[in-house]
Amino acid sequence: MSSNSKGLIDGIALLLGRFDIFASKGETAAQHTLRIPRRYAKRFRASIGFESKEKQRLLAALCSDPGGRYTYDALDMISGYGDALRTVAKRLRIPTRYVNNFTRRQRIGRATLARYVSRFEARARELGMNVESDVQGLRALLDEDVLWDEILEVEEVPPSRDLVYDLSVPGLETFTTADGIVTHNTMRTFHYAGVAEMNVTLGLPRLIEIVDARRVPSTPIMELYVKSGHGDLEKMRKIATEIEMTSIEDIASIETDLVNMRVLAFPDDHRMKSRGVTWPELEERFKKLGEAQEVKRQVGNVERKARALVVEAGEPSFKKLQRLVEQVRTMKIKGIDGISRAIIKKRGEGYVIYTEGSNLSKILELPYIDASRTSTNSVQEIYEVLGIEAARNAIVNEAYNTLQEQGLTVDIRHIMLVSDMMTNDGDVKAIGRHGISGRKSSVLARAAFEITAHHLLRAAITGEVDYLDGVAENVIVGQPVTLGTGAVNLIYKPPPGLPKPMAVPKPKPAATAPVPPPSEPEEPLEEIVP
Amino acid sequence: MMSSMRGVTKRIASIKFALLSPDEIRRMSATKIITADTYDDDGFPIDMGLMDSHLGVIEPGLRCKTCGGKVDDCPGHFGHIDLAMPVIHVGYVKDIKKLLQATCRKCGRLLLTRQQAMEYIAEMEQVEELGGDVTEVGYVTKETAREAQKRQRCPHCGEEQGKITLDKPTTFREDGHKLTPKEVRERLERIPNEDLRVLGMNPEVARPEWMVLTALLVPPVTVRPSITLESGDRSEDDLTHKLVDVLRINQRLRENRDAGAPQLIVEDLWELLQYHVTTYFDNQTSGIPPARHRSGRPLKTLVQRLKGKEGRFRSNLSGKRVNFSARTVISPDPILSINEVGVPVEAARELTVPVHVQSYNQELVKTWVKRGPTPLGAFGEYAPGVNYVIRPDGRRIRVTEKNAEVVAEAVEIGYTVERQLVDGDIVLFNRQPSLHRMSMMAHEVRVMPHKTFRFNLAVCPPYNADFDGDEMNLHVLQSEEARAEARVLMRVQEHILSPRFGGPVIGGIHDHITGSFLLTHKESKFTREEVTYILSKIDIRDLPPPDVKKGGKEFWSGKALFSAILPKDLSMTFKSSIAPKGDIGLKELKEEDSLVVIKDGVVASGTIDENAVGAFKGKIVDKLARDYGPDAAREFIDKATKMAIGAIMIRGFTTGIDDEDIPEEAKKQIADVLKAAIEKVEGLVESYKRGELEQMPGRSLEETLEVEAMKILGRARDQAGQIAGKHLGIENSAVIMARSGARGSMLNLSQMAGSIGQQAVRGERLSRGYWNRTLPHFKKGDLGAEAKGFVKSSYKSGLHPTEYFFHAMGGREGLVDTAVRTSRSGYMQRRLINALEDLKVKEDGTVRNTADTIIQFKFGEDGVDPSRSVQGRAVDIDDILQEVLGEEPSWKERLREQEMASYGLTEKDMYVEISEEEVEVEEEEPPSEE
Repeated sequence: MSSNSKGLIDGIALLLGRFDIFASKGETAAQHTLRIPRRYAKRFRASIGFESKEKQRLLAALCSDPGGRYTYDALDMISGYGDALRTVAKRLRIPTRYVNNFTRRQRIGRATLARYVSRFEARARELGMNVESDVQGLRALLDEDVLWDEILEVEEVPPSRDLVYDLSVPGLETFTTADGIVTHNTMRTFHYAGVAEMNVTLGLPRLIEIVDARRVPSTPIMELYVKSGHGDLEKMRKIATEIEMTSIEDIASIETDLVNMRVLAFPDDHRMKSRGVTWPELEERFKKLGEAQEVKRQVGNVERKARALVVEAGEPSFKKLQRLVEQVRTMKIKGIDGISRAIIKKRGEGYVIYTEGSNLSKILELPYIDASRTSTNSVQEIYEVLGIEAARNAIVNEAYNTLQEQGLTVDIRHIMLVSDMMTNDGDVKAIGRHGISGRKSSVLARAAFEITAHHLLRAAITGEVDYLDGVAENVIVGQPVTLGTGAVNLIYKPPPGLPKPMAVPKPKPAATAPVPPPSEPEEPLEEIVP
Repeated sequence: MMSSMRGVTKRIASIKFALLSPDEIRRMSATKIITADTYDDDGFPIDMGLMDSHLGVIEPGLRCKTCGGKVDDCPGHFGHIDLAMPVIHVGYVKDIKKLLQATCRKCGRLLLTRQQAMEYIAEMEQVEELGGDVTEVGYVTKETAREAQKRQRCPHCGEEQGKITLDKPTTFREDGHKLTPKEVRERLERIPNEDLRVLGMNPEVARPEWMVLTALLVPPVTVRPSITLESGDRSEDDLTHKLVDVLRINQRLRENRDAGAPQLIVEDLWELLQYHVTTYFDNQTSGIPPARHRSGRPLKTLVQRLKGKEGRFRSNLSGKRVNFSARTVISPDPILSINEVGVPVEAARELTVPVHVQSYNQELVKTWVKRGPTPLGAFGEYAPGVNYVIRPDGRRIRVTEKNAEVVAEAVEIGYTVERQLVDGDIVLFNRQPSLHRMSMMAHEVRVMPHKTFRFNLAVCPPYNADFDGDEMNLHVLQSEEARAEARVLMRVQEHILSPRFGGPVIGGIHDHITGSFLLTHKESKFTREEVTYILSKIDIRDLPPPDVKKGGKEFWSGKALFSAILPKDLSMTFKSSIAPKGDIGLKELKEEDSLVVIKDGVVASGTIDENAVGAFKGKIVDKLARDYGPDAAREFIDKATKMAIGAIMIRGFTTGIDDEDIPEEAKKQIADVLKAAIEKVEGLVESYKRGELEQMPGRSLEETLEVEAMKILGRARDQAGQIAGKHLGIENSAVIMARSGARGSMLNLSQMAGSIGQQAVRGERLSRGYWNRTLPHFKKGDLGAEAKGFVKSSYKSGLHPTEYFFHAMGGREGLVDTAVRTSRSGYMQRRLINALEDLKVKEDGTVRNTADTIIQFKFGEDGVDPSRSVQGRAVDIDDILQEVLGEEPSWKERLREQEMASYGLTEKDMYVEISEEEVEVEEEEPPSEE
């Protein structure tokens, strides 16, 4: 293929690499090209293929063609086999001139090697010799997945920028290691207490999440209790399937019929059953969009009749059709929004339902749910549904449990303080620039934390006054903080009759230094400020 | 602070922020700046240039033309530049846009009806009354502006409104037509004061037209000093460079305008002036290229000076360099008490304490001064001298050998004398990173020879210090109030109990614990010589009666010796660290001598080890600090550690790799166990491949296999460790250290002697590397133990190449993990501290912030200080009951209670704590919301 975008070609080459297809890049005057060696044709056909029929046909032909045995293999050269070829050849009394060349140059195309190996084996059979031990090494070379690529030149690239060692993007932890290979570094997730199949953010990431007062936790989870019958596994199972949000996508394969401009969804009986969805239910739900019909469906080469949900696009517009597909795909059939999975877990006597995803308000509406014990790890939801005091407790619990799971003992009072600080004015505020630190009463304290210029400029036009009550402000202006001995002012009033403070003998003022004004207090009142 | 002013210092009560009006700029200006030249040929500042001496002086010898002061006397004075054409202030672009959009283009009134305006005023007042903070008031004004912008026609004069847009960074357009700053300014001038308040501006301090500059304030030269290089060339400050640019363009603009140049040229110059003024304020304004130095480095202009970690605020205002401080390498000194610090003589001579001369001490102080700055005592030892004498007028007189006599005579009441450190002075001692309050504690000075700071090893854990080259800081307190606070609140013994969880953080470490173990384990006996040696370390003169007499020889038991330092009424029971894990019987406990029973100050049984005296875990330390006070606890730690060191010195203690020697047969057993496990995994893999593996609920087949394999291999490693452990008795030094809690763990030992075990990345067996295999040494798709990172060798036997590689893979993960965590947790800690820093408990017991808002009615709901709590509980009821009723609960019950009270803190915890909170990494200030 060819393109005038080098980036596109590079990208395709990399993507092909993912499928173990190694194509060679080329360059003409204006175009960048990519050639896929024919030996990858089969793999290409199996995993990628072509859209157009003509190309498909040609590709199939190419795959079935056994030819190309003598193609020169410039790309996939195997190296580092030492004298192996020669030794075998000698043993088999094949003239070594066939292999001398390869031995001297220490490189041989994979196809060529394969040819030689089979030739050796054939010869060995002929002679009735056992060369297994020799050929084995060669065969291992053939089978291995190391791709030998020729190093054309080694060039030192002068750094265009300052050198950095860590190429990570903060927060994402994604970094590029080499030519387009992107490595994603996820923080550790831990298995939730007892629920093996559910991943939950724990440890530091979770703690940061709590303190940030994120709207949605990265792994929202609910713990549901029922009012009665928690020992009845069947009943619990029913509840679980009931709340699990199911969309058409989950139970059906969706196809677009471009000829008739319609979208078809073929529900799978098995998947429907496991999700607890019945046909009448499905049709009822689907009424608004379309209806169920018997349609012909192409499965492989066979055409079969199948029952499908059909949505007509009405007008011949691809855009509309595209939108329709999306609409059908995400259409909710049953369950509660946001709950993507529900799992039953034994807890003591009975069962508890854990859900992936959280929707407290909707869950609490269910009559059989025991609202007093049901909970979620989304602080924001608790705040919205149950109010600020509940949110405060939720923060305390979440943070405390997170620390406990890490084996850290921290007095709960410290966490209460953080939580109270976050929820103090009836709103859940984050710890940081957008929350508490950005709302301090002191301009200087805000400026000293982050976005310095912004705070100073804003303070000027609103005519803000900083009363220097806090620690940071007083440190900034260089005076004692209002804590400890700095929190009190001592005023000493000497009893009447006491002589005035002793006159300090005044030494001759220095000739050069400006004389400070005498600081003798007139009043016998002396304020002592440490 | 001048000494004569002491006690009557002035205090800034408040700071008001405001916008400078052009009038005010001109009024406060010492001189108008008109020329872009700085110095003349002789190197003197040019008048009305940027370095004009009216703006202050930076060269010694010169005098300021405004105030007459010399370099350090004159603070510098502002000047100003009259701009030929008005220019928009970048910092206020958004506000100007808001104002233009919200007010009428003709009459300048707010585009709201009277009634609407009143409503918004009322709303704002309400928010303010309810104690709304800046952000909340901001929401109201934003809402007001948004509402006003919607109106197309002015409700006051009926004028049709244009659409105001902003071309970033500083160009305004109305319906696509450019608005010059001059026009903008005219419009802003028209906005009446009462309409400004609703829009969140205070017209008394900030008229909106002031946001369009007509005069530019020039900072004093002291703010932008030029530096002279060795070559004699002058190098100007970035700000000066920028101001030169402004002046040049300003001049050209004025000339062109006055000469009646074409509009196009004037506009171009105007825009250029706007660019220079913009970058003068903020050289990182988005949308325009930063102004650069000749070398290509972007200039550091006003905003860059203030913001960020290296900015004025965080590096010079919130954190300052201080006098009376010292920093040097630290080293250990077990002789010192935990609340002492050894200070080198050189440092002590420089560090001083101010002493105020009064009638009661006048004569004494005079004798100090007379001795000069480097006196020696009668035996040639260190004696404190005086460095400076400060007269009441603030003049400092340096005391030298020569003038000491004369100066001493002049010392009178009202003088202050700076005396060098003496033993017993209280100083603050600190090691960065200062993550918790125990990172800075008050110590008493001991002046000593040599060049390092020295302190007791028991204080290493709170500072997280070791002696591999660590340095620490020392600060000498300068006021009586500070010393009082330090003495009452900050001394080391006040921090034995941690506020984090109410347990001890100071106690014996390493050899202290090994020593205690050797001293007290089972029937350890000591001869008269040994006992005198041990007791001499802790200053006990009277030998207790011997415990055993044998063959005419007297022996003292270690337990009796240890009892000598316990309070006479101490009674407690707990398990030793060496106790076997799990629920075990009394007999077994006794057998191992691992049930510590202390009755009336006598250790009746049990081994004293980490659970008794260790940092983080020491139960005796905990109890003493709580019930007998910090001073008793300090004394105990001092004595217990010294005694332990005495004991370890008698017996001698060493460990080496041969401590992990195990007999051949044991090696064989281990090999068998490992082989069996590997085969078992092989079997699992087989059944997996045949599809016969029973799937675990909720897991895929692959996961099931992995879990099972991990389980088997983990068990095999443990078994190998157990076999190895069986052959390593308690007399083995390494085992002593591990079991007593001094250093290392049994896991470490089993990895050294037995097998290292499965290596894991992200909690899973190794799987990455080559396609379908970890290394080319294995077959593709090999799921066996060895192919997926099981290391069956031990550290002692050495690793195979593949094993070595796997081990490195596992090790790398740990390193990466810590690196990533430190930065993230550092930033979180900074935010947490910033959020909580100005909370305090007021006289009425409420917790309030600086705005006096109540955060908690009672701290922690019960008003209990976590460091005084008993593992979080306000009172230890069991302890009180026992004391009052005198009832002895059964040993099991007592142990259960103790179990509950254990803090679960291990070395791993420490590691987590450190890595969670370590050094801060600057999170670059992201631009505000937009």
